[in-house]
Amino acid sequence: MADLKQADPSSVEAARAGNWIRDLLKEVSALLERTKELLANSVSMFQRQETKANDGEVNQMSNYEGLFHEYKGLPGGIIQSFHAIQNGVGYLTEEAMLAAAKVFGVPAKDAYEVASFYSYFSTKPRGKNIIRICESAPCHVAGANEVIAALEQELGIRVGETTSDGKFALEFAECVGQCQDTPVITVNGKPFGKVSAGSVGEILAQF
Amino acid sequence: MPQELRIVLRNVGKIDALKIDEYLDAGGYKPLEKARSMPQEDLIREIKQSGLRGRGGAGFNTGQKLEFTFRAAGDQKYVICNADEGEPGTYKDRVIMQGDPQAVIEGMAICGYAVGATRGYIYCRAEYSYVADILKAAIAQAKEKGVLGDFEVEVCLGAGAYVCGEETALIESIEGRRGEPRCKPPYPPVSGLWGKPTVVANVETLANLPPIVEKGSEWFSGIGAPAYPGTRVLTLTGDVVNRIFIEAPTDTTVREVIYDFGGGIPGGKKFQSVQVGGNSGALIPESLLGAKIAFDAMAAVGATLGSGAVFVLDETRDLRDVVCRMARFFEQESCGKCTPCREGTMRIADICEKVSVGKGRAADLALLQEIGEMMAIACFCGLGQAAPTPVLTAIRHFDLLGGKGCA
Repeated sequence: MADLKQADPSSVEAARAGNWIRDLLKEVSALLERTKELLANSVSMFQRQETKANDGEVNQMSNYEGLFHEYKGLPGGIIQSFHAIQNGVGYLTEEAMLAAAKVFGVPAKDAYEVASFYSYFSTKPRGKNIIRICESAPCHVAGANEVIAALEQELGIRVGETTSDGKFALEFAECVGQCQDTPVITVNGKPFGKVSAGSVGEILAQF
Repeated sequence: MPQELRIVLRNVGKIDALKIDEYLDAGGYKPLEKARSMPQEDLIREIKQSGLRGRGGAGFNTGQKLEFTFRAAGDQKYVICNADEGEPGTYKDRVIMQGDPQAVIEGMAICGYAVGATRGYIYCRAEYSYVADILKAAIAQAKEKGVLGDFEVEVCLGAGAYVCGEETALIESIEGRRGEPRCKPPYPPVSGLWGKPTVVANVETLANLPPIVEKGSEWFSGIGAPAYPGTRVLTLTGDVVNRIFIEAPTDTTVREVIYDFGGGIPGGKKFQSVQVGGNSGALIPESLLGAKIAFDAMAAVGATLGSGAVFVLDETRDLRDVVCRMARFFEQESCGKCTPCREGTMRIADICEKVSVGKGRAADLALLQEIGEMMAIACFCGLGQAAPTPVLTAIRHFDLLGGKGCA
């Protein structure tokens, strides 16, 4: 670097400003690189999730169609087939719904209407183990709020969310018909009764 | 001291639900044999005369329903068991299906013979998938034993929608669509599943049929309240010592249910209110506890027998909070098809929320009254028509703006 002490004041200022701008640009450039990195990571995370979710039999349009044909003649056909897909993949992918519409001979919006109507179906990826907390009046007065708070704290998420490791999803549910043991939660459809803030940990440990 | 009378629950806890031989040893499938030896009109008359009325909540005479279906024209008829037990606080049908699934299947086969239906479906809610497994095993055993004759039964799973307890919404669901109710008339006995004559009956109603056929209509009609004979299976929840299920004759009073069978209020606290019939039931005060657990007797005091859930609240409960939670249930479960329900349940829930945080005013109560009355007339199905009941009865019998212990 030139000996600034010998240069005149205005060009010293200019040089300092120039250096400051150059450093700033370096920082911005580094930040942009970091942002690119983060975006690339989340895209590949999503892709990994999709791939993980699509492991097994139902990972292609043709396999979806095969499954739907199995259910075509059965009562509640499309609904039963959606249950089967969810049991495998965890949620109803757009691919699945379009394939269902094709096989069951209904407009695509009908497949989506069914998927979006029933509380058991999800059109978004969610955690592998679905925890449902009953919030109907009998469980509510038995202390469901404390259970909700304990679960949110234990899992580090709010109701409606999925844990970052994809292991648990937390959802509200209405009465699951186990009212002799209020408050009740279910995990993957299996009921757990007389749940308290203290017993939440040991229930989660089973999964 | 009132006693239980276990007709519906006759085998529950006494036989292994997954061993059809035990059901047969207990006399199972003899009623179906007897039914099949009678002319259909005679069988239907017998069931009509027994006075058996639907145990799902609507209370329609079962024999009359069978007669409509029998008389309707159709090349194929169906029997549907409504096992979509979604009413909060209710698990009686689960107890019946888990404890004595063959009783339900036999009841369906009796209906099938009566109306000329050879196919039956048990619509089982998704929350009871473990019950569906029991039903499927029981059906397979019955088929293997050959006791069902030409009657074929299948299980069809729901997917989490309270509205599918409504018979036409249930039918829509079996047909693979959104569970949105249909316009009635035509009623299912005339045009139901895939447009064919269909009997839709509750689990408990069906489990009553084998004993009625076996012991006769006179026996059954002599039990309990004359206009609504027989028994009801009740599930007790909330602030009650014994959170159990019982089966009692229909001339038992609500007071007897809570204090004799239920053991009263725990912790020595005072009674505030009880909601009979599930989330859509009326909240009634102590003064009305003398009402019998029969359909008309409850209706006469502005209450509901409904699903037989008995949800007790002690003096410490803030009714504003409980009513708000009940209102949010209906907002959640409204199918969205008709505007008065879709919008009405939302508005009621929002106003109840406002009341529950102490910001309610008399004008809010007046508005709730207006919305409720509108919904009772304008809503397309029973969900919307009954949804305002908890909040309207809370306003009628209690000081809803008052707060904790506001009896």
